[in-house]
Amino acid sequence: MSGIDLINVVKRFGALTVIDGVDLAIAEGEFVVFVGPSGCGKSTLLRMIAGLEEISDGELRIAGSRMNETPPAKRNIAMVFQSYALYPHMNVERNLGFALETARLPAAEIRERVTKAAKFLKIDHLLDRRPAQLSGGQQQRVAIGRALVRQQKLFLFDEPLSNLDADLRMEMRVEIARIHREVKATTVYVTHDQMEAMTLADRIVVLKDGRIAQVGTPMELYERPANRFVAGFIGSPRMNFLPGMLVREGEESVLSLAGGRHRLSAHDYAGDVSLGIRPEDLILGGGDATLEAEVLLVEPLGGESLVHLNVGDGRSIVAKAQGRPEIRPGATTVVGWNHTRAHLFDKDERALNPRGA
Amino acid sequence: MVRSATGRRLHRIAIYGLFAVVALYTLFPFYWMIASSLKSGQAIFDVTFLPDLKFNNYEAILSDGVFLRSLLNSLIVAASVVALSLGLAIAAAYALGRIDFRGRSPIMFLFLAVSMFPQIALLSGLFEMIRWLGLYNTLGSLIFAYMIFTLPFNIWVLTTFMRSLPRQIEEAAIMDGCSPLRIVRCIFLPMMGPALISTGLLAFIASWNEFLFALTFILTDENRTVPVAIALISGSSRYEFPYGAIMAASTIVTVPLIVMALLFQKYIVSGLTAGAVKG
Amino acid sequence: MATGAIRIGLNAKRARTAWLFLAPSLLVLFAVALWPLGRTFLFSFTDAFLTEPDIYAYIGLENYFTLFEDALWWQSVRNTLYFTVVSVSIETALGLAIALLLNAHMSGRGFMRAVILIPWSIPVVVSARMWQWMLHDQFGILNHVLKLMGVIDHGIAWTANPDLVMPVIIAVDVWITTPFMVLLILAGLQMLPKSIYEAASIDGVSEWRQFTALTLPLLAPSIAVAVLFRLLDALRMFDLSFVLSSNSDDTKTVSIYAREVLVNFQDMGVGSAASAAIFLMIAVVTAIYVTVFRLNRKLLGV
Repeated sequence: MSGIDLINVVKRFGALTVIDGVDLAIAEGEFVVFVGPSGCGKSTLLRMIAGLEEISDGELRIAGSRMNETPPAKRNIAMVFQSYALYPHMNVERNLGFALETARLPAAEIRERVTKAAKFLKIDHLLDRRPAQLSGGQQQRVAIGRALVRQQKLFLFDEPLSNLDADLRMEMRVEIARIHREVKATTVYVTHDQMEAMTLADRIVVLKDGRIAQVGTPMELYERPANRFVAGFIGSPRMNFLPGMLVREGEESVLSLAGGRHRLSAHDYAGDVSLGIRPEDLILGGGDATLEAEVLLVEPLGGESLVHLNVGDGRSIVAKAQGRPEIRPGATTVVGWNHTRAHLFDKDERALNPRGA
Repeated sequence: MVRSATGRRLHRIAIYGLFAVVALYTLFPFYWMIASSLKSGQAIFDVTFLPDLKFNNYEAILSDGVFLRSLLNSLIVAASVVALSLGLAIAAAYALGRIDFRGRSPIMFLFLAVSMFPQIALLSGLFEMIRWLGLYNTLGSLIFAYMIFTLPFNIWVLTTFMRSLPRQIEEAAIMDGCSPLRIVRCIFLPMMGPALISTGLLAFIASWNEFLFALTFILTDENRTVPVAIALISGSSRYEFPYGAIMAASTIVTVPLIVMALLFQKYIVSGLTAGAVKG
Repeated sequence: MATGAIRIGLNAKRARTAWLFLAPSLLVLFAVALWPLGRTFLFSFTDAFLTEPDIYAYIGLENYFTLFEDALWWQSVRNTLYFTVVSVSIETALGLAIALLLNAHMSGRGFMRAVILIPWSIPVVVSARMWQWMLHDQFGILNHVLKLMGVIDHGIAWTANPDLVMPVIIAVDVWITTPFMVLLILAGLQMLPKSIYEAASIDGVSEWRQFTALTLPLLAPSIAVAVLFRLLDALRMFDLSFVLSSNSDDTKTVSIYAREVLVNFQDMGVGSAASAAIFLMIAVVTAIYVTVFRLNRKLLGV
């Protein structure tokens, strides 16, 4: 048993509330990613689980027992830091073995565990080097190795990849996924990069202003965002939003946009809404509903292209198209979507669903 | 400013000229001290600019057990003060530099204020305290008393240095199960080399040179430190001052400091400015 | 925490560690500074003698009356203040000049920095002895050179002449402590941003104007801190006068006066009163200096 339970957890710095009542249960062996814009409290929440920040209110349980007052070292947690935080005066071998040395393990066992972890991470040829002599990616591997040798049931990652360049980030992402597959430790991973969250997580926790905006599997968050914030945050390029008005007409609801009216199945809500459609769900030249648009720019990405469109009122939206569509900037075109792929949000930015759905 | 080639050359010559003047002003007294110490007997009273390389004065001063003893005393005092003040200051600096607790700022202010205390204002109270501790006329009295000017300074400088060390390294150590003591000993101490060298050197120099307390708390010759020993060397009358011996003793006391100043110039300067600029 | 006394928060634990780590230093500083300071003030109201400090009676302000009626005390106060003002002024001006010189980008700069560090790092007693010998009335090198140059016919008694002894002490102090000023001001100079000088040069601002309009105002905080340190040091000057002219009333500083009463005359009461008065004097000077400096800063908007 090494699940984590957060029960109405609150963090205050003086008068400022940074975490405002978070409830969350993380199952044993699960890979959970905290994601959100900077300042949303994701790192603070992780540091509270680690024991590096005190919990102002609420309760933290690990494997069922209250941990609020337990010092970090006794929570059976290993952590990887954004800056790697390697000890600059120790070589890789000592960096890896330091926690075990601190725990007074026999030298032979320390060596065995260090060697094993180093092999696993392919850094066994670097054991004599100092951190300053390593590349960023190698330092990252050592930092992960340092957590691995402790053989804990719980892993915390605090934005571990944000200091790496794009190539290495991809490589390490795969590596972290592999480690989780093989070690099967419960993992909490903090990032501001939704792509990392989507690819790594069993479940994603989206945080905003110290509260949970939504929890769910990557596909749940992608397919059924609970609110406009999550809809905009998950997915790249961002979801397009268009303002509109929803009116009830008999057994149907009618959505009025700047470019036309669209009949939808009945909604209980009526009033101002925003319509959200992902770029990949926009269809050039077709769909259940269409708008007239002026092509602003076509960005070819190779296999696909991003088409920037002006849909009137100076509003621009982005559509993703396969290959390289035969349209030029300045041309007028029709863009459309299927109702099943459209998202509606009320004026409080909550997702709207048709009656009965 | 763009100058002509001749103008630039004149400028350089002027600056090197001034360098020479400053160096002469600074170094000539040392030259004269060493030169005088190397003249034997009455030769010291003939003003000649070149020394005659006679070591009589050194033989005299070094065969005198009292001076050697005071050298050893100075060394013991200075080394103990460095060790003790650094040990205490490192612990205090960890608390003040890394932990956010109520009372931190008042304590920083207290240390700063204490470092400004004039030594004379403590003399009678310290006298009583030293007697009460049974340290009067022992080297212990000086090691104790010198804490007043070394400890607050060291704490101040090391605190600023500690604060500049990355926070995540300490947190990594906490996660690795280190106690605060182990964090300081195994993680921070090895990272603090330059700061420790600076503060240690300054504490050494200050203790080696101190005069007022050394004069007051030590009663007998065998416990004196060198500055007092040199100050108390005297002849039978004002006109028979053993200047040769005094210059030889002064040279012996000064040489280690000059070597230190030349070797560790960078560290001494950074310690001095850290204390002043950031203070 | 809400649920009982056994639960000590992590922050509280950290704070407890902090106090634990601070305790030895606080204890030592209490024993070596705060307690003695308190006792000094206390003794200043008693008739204690150094030989038996345990036996004393309170005699109110009498020690202070004795002290303030002593012309020698007032002379030592005057000496100290005169010495402080003159020596610190010269050291600041000279220190600034040498710092500017050493800031020139020339090879040999590092060597020069090491050289000027030397006078500051050796014992004041040694410096005093060195200069005493160079200033010797019969055999001193200075008189010898002056005689060679035909400036004087017979040797000047530099440290015995009441009119000369104070200037001599100041001159030696300048030699000893100017390096300190140089190093602090140099550190300040090296923190100044290079780009503003480049901008000023492009704008055709003369070097002298650059110095008065840019360097001096930007350097003011560094200089002010350095001066404060020197001020505190000069006000408690002891060793230089003690060695160079121990018997002269013309260079007796307050520190020498207080120690003389305390140790030589064994009068712990009056000696402590003098010590207490020095403490207050220095505290007042520091307070005034810091206040004026802050005010200036505010006015200048630095």
